[in-house]
Amino acid sequence: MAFTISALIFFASRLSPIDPILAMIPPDMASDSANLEQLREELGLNDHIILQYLTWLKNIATGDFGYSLQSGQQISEILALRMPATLELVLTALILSTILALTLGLFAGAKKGGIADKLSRVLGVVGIAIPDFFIGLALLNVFAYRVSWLPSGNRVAPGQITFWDRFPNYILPVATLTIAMLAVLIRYTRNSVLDTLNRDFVKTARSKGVPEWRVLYSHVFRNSLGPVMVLLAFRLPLLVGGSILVETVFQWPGIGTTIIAAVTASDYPVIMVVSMLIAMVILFASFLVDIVKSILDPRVRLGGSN
Amino acid sequence: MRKFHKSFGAIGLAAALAVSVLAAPTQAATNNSITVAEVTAGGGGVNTISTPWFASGSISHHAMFRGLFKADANLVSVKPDLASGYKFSKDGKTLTLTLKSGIKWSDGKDLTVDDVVWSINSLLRVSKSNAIFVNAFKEIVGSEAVNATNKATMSGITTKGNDIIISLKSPINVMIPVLAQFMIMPKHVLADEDILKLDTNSFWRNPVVLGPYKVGTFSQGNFITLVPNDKYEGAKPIIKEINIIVSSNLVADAKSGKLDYFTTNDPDTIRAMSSVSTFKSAPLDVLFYRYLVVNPTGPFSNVKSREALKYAIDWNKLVPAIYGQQGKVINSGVASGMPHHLSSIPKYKYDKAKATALLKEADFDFSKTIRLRTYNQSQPAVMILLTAVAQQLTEVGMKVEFLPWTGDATTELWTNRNYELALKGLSAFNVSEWFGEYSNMATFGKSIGAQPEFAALSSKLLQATTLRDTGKILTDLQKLEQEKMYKLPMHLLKQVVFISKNISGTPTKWGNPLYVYQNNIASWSAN
Repeated sequence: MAFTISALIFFASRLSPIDPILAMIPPDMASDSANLEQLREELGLNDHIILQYLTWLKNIATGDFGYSLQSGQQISEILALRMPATLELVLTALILSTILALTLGLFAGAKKGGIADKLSRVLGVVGIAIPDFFIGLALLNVFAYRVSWLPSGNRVAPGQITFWDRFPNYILPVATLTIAMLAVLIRYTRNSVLDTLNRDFVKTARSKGVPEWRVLYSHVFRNSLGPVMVLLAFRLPLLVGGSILVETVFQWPGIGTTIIAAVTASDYPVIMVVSMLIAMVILFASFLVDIVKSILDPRVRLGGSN
Repeated sequence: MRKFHKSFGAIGLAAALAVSVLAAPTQAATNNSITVAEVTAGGGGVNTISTPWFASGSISHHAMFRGLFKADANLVSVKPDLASGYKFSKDGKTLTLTLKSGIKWSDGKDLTVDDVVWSINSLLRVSKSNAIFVNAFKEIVGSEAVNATNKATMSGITTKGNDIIISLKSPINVMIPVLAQFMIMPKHVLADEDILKLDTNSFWRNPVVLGPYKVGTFSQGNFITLVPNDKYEGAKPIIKEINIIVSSNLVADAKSGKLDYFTTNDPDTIRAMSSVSTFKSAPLDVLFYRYLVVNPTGPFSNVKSREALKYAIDWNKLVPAIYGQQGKVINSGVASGMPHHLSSIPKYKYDKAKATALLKEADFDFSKTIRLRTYNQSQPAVMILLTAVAQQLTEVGMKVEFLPWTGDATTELWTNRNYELALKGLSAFNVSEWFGEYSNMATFGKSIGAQPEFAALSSKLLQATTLRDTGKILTDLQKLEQEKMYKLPMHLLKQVVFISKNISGTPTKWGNPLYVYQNNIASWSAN
């Protein structure tokens, strides 16, 4: 599977009509054509495309991701610099949205029609109906531009040394991603809880006089987690790919903005490596989903015929 | 339920308080630091300082790099900088430059004539460079021996003590102003690097420099802080830190005090900045051309059909409507009001009937779709302007398809050439650069085929040493341009410098922010 994906990524990038050399050089800045030809030769772009693919594959397999055409930096160095920015943003939002969604979803399902249910439905609709970049722009407009409480972007500004100096920079992007992630998860949790509440084993537990908190926690919550965990697992690729739009809106120097810059500049080595990484994480997430399902539901067994 | 509401309110209040306590303080300019917005190379936020050999003029360039001379705001007259002076031989073919002594690089090493010689030779080895340097340095004897595959040096450059002697194939009148733009780089740091890929070298993240500032902090993706260079031999700069950032909203950042300086030619930003009372502005007449490149191999093969375009589009209405005072309609590479403008060139008032008549006279194929293209899709003003152009062309009977390019502009413009009309910009150092585009060395010139008449006149223009000769050649070039109409000049676009009112010591006259000149950055101070 990984091999097929790598071939698809490589050939899709390289068969584009865009000349990577000319893409790097603005119309007025192209120097001597002989120099450009030499650059093409040095970068191996004159080799047969199959040879280029095999070389790339071999290099990737040995951990040599190559160089960015745009900045000249090693791609591994770019990833090492940009990945932490994406991770801290996405991971924080993922944790916050998961805690909030599970809590609100559980209460919403348990007390159908109650305040938590109403709140979760509003959040669900808002989060699903409004795209994340729009939520980001709206928050920016209010909190950064109108009342100037929070910075308009960037992860680190000049003079910000400690974590607490930088903390205000995190609030808006994390809030945006959290709201965007919350919506679907909250609906999933609520529906799953409602579904579980109607199951026979819940009725049995209640009829046995098990306290309501215990019914909710031990029986309902645990059995509602299956579909929720699947959704969470499929969000793992975000940890690598970042949220392109949110990172762009807040000028967050993560993988998302790196992808945008690479695509704009036809920096195909970066595009290929990041795409490959995302594909690998998606494969891993699929595998993880199967494992999680088998843990949560004893009827599911990995590798068994029955 | 009431209790629940109260708790929610308390949580909300606490969050709001926390946010206001933690809110980022507004950074007003002080003598300790100022913040400027720049487009840096590499993409995805602040990545690396752009190489001054292909684009200069940013504050980081002014602050860190130096050339042999320093141009005035008009980019014509120069004062000594690294060179104490220069002397041309009587025939104008030998230039002797004398390097000052005692100048040190920021790493403590001495500046030597070898740095200058190495820099001039290396310019011809890089993949990306400004045409003004290439055109000037190719006129040095032995330049053809230097290329990316060798380490040869031009035989026309020799040294004697602190003198650098440059032999030219023929006199070039722009050599000194060009040298004033050419930043000298440290041979001892870069000699062993792959010069072909100089623009992507890690050197640009912490360059060894000669200017009053050097890189203090490089926070990739976030910002660069420049601090005083203690090896700089001039007066110590007043401002202690210059922060370079990338801003996605210049107006908001200027309003919030996050930004102290930037330049732009975006009409929306310029309009919005009029409400920011803490900033002053300086509009600058610069040679930023916008013009239509005509593909002469298709429906516009007849020059009369190209002339029809001049009458078919109402430039005098469209340009002011979109750019206001910032745009100036032009009908020649030498704009009206500039020395040597050819006043006999028609003003081309909008005249649909005349355009249609010319098209018929040219036997124009109205059945063909005219592909109008641009690479400025990120600029709403350009998109609006070209949408209006497309509309006006349809009014004279043409079928027009207007689309922005998604691929890279260089390939689309000069290799693929799948267009009939394309918008192009040119930030020119002087009018020679406008006409130099017709030379067979330039990509534009290559795309339209050999133009010996243009090449001969452009070469003469570079060699002209008197105003009379320059005027005569520019007149001939304008006539020739008018006769051929391969590119249709549309308008010039002013660049505007915006600077916080807290900053003083700035130049009395600002120069083109796309080039380096005497902007006295070391004397800037902030209240």
